[in-house]
Amino acid sequence: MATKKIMYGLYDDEVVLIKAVKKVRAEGLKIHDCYTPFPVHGLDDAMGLRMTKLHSAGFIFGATGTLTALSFILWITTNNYPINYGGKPYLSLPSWIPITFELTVLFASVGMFLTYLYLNRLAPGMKAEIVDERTTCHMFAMTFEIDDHTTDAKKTEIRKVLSDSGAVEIHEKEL
Amino acid sequence: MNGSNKFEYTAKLKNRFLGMLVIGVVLVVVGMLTGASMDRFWSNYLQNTLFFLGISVLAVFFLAAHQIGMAGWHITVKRIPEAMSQFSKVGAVLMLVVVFGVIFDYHHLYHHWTNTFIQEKEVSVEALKDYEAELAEEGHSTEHAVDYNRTWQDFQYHQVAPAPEHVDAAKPEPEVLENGMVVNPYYDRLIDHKSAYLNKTFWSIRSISYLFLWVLMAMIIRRYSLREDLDNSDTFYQKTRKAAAVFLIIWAVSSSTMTWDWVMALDPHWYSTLFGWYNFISLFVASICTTILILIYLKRNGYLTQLNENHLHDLGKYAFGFSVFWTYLWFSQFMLYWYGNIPEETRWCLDRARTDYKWLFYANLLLNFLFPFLTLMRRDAKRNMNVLMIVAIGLIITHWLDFYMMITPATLGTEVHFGILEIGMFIAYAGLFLFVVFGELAKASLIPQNHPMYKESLDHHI
Repeated sequence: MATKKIMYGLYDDEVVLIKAVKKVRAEGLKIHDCYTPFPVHGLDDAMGLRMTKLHSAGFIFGATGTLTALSFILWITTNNYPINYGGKPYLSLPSWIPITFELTVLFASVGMFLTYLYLNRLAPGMKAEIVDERTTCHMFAMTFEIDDHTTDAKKTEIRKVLSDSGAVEIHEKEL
Repeated sequence: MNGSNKFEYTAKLKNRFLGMLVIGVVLVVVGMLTGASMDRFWSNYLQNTLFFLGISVLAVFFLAAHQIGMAGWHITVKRIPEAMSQFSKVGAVLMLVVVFGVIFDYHHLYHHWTNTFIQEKEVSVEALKDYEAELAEEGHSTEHAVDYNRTWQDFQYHQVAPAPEHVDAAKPEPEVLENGMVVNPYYDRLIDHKSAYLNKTFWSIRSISYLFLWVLMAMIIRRYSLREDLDNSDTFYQKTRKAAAVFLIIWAVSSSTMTWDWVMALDPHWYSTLFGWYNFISLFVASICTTILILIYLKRNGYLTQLNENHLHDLGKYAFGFSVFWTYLWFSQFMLYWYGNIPEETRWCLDRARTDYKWLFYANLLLNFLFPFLTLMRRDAKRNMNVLMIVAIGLIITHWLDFYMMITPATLGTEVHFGILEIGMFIAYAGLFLFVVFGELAKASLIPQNHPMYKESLDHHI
């Protein structure tokens, strides 16, 4: 697997980070990602990230659950194993609703959970790509992708923008 | 600030609301002249009074719940529920007309249990004769004795209510007991059983005390909020917290009992344990939607510049979430009734789902659940004023219909009565409500800038 090279600046305050992100984007540089110890309000907007499509996936999973439950119970109660419950007709929608509801929630939540893991390339035993261990504690990192073809002029530009916008440390690293 | 925090209540707007009121009253009069009965008038009067009084009291609940939850986002919104809460004064007076009607007997809304004759096992022969003469004179059937034993299956297999044969059948002469009394053939076990709670005195005391307490708390919370505008400390914030806690305790009890007293008591043979919550949530959705509509009106007219789509998003989430919760309660009740098949319970659904009200009954579920569920599900929809406005108008009308469905079959029987009178009454109440609420809005700054959480509300972001 090809190694990925990044260049990153560390900030010690989220307000400075958000300002820095806006400044860097205004200069036309492409930010790879930001790493923060906690969710920072407004960072998504500042970085110009598009909204996640996870909820659309959730709706599809949920609808699948609804259809699965309804069709399965329909088949059981009218075809496979019809039982007379208290004189009610075999095809009794009210009694199916609780199970349909449960399966909708189950499909939606499990489906979204697995999709989330897949999108973020997470799984048990997977090696985490940690830019800097301090980003799990008190520092905020803004990273840029670089490779062997990146010119020194470009690197200098990134360095300058980072330090101008208040980064306390700037590093290059191979992941 | 651009100085637009003060709402200007123009004469044009005032006239528009008063015009609604006048048109509504005219329609009601036309409806009455074209043959609507007094019972139908009172039924509509009760429904609309409850609905609009409920919306205003739920506005107090909105304020109190956010205060206790130490919420900050709603400060830019806060003055609208505050203004709505002041309608409770008018609503309480209108409701008192119904309460006094029970005391002085000028309407028949609660005639099932206000009738004490049917609560006695043994009566004298003369009393029985008098009662029967009275019945014949009024032309009332003894409908309260009809439907003890109707179950879902009766409807399942016959598709219609079985004819109440035992009522019309010739009655045998009542047997005279040793003490000279006779067994009361009109004796109603269920109503007698409930008479310790459902009697005129206790009912009137309860009804008046809810109205008094709600209006009192609405006025106190509003007053603190207005005085906060002139005060730079957090004194009134702390005072409002206490008032909010008191209101929530009062509301926790009275929200259920008001439903028993004012809605369930219309049909005293019927048993339900979650009907209080059902009413509460129905009113809460209507209250949130009214807030949304007034907000959008103000925003479109250049007020509330500090308000942005994040605040609307939160209100939209309420409308969405509580619509789902309303459905949860509706369905919980419906399914357990259907499964249990106990006559005292199923009768409520049967009177609605297997009569002329059938279409309205299922439309009620679809409009109050699927419509907001599918339209408000997307994030963008909750942040879009046009979508929110359409959904809010729809939900107010359908929750009003929900109240129509609760009250009218119980007061007027299972034939649908819907016409000019119903529409006129709604327009009249809406006009009166808006007239009062916008008058209150004009009395204070639209944004309480001295509230300790004012800044937090401006920074609200989701």
